[in-house]
Amino acid sequence: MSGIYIHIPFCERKCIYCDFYSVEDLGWIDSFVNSILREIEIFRRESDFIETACFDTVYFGGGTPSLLEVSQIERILNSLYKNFCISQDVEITVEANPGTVNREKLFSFRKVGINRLSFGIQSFFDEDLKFLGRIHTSKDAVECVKFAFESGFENISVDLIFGLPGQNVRDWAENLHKAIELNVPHISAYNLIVESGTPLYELVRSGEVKLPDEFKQAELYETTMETLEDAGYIHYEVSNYAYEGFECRHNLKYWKHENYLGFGPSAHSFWLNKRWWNVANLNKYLKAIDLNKLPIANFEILDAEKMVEEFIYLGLRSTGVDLEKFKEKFGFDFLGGEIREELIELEKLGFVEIDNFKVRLTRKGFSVCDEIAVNLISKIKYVSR
Amino acid sequence: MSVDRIRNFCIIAHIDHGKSTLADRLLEKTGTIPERQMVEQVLDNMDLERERGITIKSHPIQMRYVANDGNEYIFNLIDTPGHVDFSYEVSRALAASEGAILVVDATQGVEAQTISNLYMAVDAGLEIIPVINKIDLPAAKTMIETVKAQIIDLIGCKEDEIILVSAKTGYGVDKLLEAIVERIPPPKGNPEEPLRALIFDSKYDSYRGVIVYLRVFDGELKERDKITFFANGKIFEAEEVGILKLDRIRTGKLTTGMVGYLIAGVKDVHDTRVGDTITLANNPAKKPLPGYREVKPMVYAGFFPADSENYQELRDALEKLRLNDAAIVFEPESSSALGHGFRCGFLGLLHMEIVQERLEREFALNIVTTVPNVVYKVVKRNGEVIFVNNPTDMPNPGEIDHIEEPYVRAQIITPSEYIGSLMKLCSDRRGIYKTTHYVSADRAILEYELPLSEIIFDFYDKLKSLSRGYASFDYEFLNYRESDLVKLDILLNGEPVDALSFVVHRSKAYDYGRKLCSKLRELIPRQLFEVVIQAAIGSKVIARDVIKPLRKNVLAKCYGGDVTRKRKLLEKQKEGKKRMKQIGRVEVPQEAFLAVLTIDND
Repeated sequence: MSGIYIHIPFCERKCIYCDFYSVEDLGWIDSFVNSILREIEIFRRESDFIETACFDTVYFGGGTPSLLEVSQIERILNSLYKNFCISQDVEITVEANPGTVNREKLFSFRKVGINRLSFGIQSFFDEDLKFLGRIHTSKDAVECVKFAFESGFENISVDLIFGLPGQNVRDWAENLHKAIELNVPHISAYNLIVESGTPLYELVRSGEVKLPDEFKQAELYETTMETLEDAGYIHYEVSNYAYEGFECRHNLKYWKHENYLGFGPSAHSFWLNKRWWNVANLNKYLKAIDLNKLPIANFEILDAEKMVEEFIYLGLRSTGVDLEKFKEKFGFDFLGGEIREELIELEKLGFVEIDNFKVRLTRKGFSVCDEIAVNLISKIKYVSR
Repeated sequence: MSVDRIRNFCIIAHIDHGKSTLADRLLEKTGTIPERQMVEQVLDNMDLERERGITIKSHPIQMRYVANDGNEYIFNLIDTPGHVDFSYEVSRALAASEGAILVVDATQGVEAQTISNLYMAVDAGLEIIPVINKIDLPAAKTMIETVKAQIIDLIGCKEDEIILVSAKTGYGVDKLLEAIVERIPPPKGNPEEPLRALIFDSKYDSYRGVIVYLRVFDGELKERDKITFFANGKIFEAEEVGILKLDRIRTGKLTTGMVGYLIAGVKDVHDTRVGDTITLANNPAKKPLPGYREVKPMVYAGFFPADSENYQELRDALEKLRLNDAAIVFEPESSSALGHGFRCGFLGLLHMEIVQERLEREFALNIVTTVPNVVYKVVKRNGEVIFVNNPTDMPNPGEIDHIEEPYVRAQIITPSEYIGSLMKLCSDRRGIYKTTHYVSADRAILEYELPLSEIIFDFYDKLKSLSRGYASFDYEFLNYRESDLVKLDILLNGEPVDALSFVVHRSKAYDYGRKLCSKLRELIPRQLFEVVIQAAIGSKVIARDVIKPLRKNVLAKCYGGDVTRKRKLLEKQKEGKKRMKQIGRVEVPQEAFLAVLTIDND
């Protein structure tokens, strides 16, 4: 099964840390929605390969998808149903900013078939929200989740951010506990990343803002894993935790190297061994569609070596490297050869667990996931097989 | 032409004092090379030589000059290498000459390099023609008198014997040409005696084999002659004999006093050692010319391919370099840290750098070198004497009676204001003070005896920085002396790193050990586990440092758009890791193997 991603590139106000593509000029939303519909049709017309594909996830990300009218989302969904084979039990997620929805809107979301909400709450402390440039308050966030449950949503996720300036373990644990109290079945807890080109980057560079050091960050991350796992959540990806059966089906496709299509500016698609992405510019995007062309910026074809590397990296990040799948995809044993010794060593050091089916990271391993990935991929030898 | 009309000479000068430019001017004035064919500094024809402004290999060249007396003379200019590492080659080039032009930069004055070569020339009985060059420079005006005084002090000449020249403008060159005719004596030697010719250089040509550059002292050398070398007794037939202008010019024979080349089907430059004497196989001379000795490498280092798969390429490249450079020696070396490579011996540090650079440039090889060391003489308890050119081969302390290390006699010439700090530098380097000699009121020659190991790295840089670039330095091998030396080992997580072992004087071992551990802590990236760095003498740990384990390295978000970006980053890191060497489980970057060179010595 494959997935569909729709990028909604609008925000009322950009947050200081965010480097996803979005614009603050909401006047373009109407023509954008029309263009998305056109893009889906052009793509469908030009792509025979999805003829036999079936999709079981749709994900509206952003930007702020919840800025769209319900009717606009409905039109996009209708177009998807018209052009693609969509599974009966499809997971349809919308990312929502607590400052942009009310009880009625959430109720309508549910009515048009949306069955999963991901709330960008980030923190339950208003001073944090202010620092980050969020447009909502802690109270808004708590209410939203309540309304969502009342509207019939069961699959609700909240996003939280740690590693803020001056944040200590106690503050952060309090955030985690507030999220747990909301009884949401899914929590994403991200370590704040300082991306170049963001206002936060400038603040850190100039020394105006000082983030916790590596050891503090590690402590916060360990607290996250411990607290959420103690509360019954399964740690199924570096920053994602869910009750059993509530893992985000769509995001898992990214990490399992499954196929997905992306529509909208800056959206990425992945199919078999090819990845392509749209222009990250609303004007260029609209113009391309006007000319009846796909707004693709570039693509890459992954050779066996790159496929193996990504598969390992993404596997480690999430539910582990699936040994059977690895062999099926690449024709050789993940545990064979040069890498075996390294893995056994990593197991001894307590970074990975190896059983008959998977190689997965331990809590200790997750903290240094990228280092482990580099260790492994630099040891693997690619003989064309 | 009669022997009386031959003048054989060389030029002695410090780097940058204008030797090559002056040589170019002589070639031009004698019509040896038409002006339009002149490439700046014709004689230095290796790229590397040009870049570094030094001459590594010498090229004799013949000129014809019609003097004011109306006679035509043959000038053989024998070019000399310009660096201390090649001082034996210099001495042989001098031995092939009757005279030397001493070139001193009018704005710089006499430097140490010049002095040691000058003394060699004087010892060899050469007639010295002193020349002050660059007199066209504005700064020269105020300096000329001082420089004249220095020269007079050094060689005891008369003031009017010093020729003022501007090689750049050509001023004074005519006067110099006449002085060569008048002052340099013609070659002595007996045409009736059996052949004796001195090899002062050789080079390898892939078509013709070894081309020998030689000076005929007695007798003559003709094509078809059966010749032999005194050092090895091998017999060859002279296939081609001739003189050298810009190219080889075949003349069929070389008579007494002449300088030229010989091609004799020799396939290996090691058969034609510089300083050896050529004679006739059928009618050999009774005695060789004096002064031959086998040049032994002074400095050794391990050369390893950065990528272990390039071992064979490195071997081939070294073989090729050896064809042209009889001074390099190498043998396979196996290091647990760096894999398979070669232990290479060099005349000195510059020689080593040149070889390393040529390997990288001409053969596109990426090389990891270990810290260079001298050759130690180890006298064991059982009386056995061994020479150790690799710290790894040092016997256990229990087996050693004592260790001796090579000492050199060093001359430092410096403006007097820097004497204090340079004396401190020398004493920090275990130098033994000998004398001070003032060549002029504000310029002195310091003489020291120093352990060679103390000057093979960073001594020259230190000397230059302490004297703001004004001091210069030269040395020659003296003897082996007993020293209290110890082998310092570096351990990473308890595992000794053979490529990091080095020999050091006991008085410096603690300080070195401590600095090296802390340097390694900076250079080795943090790993998934704690890395303990130790410096040890035998089983005794004398310094310790710790690299804390990596605590956190994970990208928080990795969705559709992030995967490509992250993979590219991982690929880059992967390449970085592949360049690292693994010691036990610790990954060590290549720079770490030269860490000892970058620690502050003083």
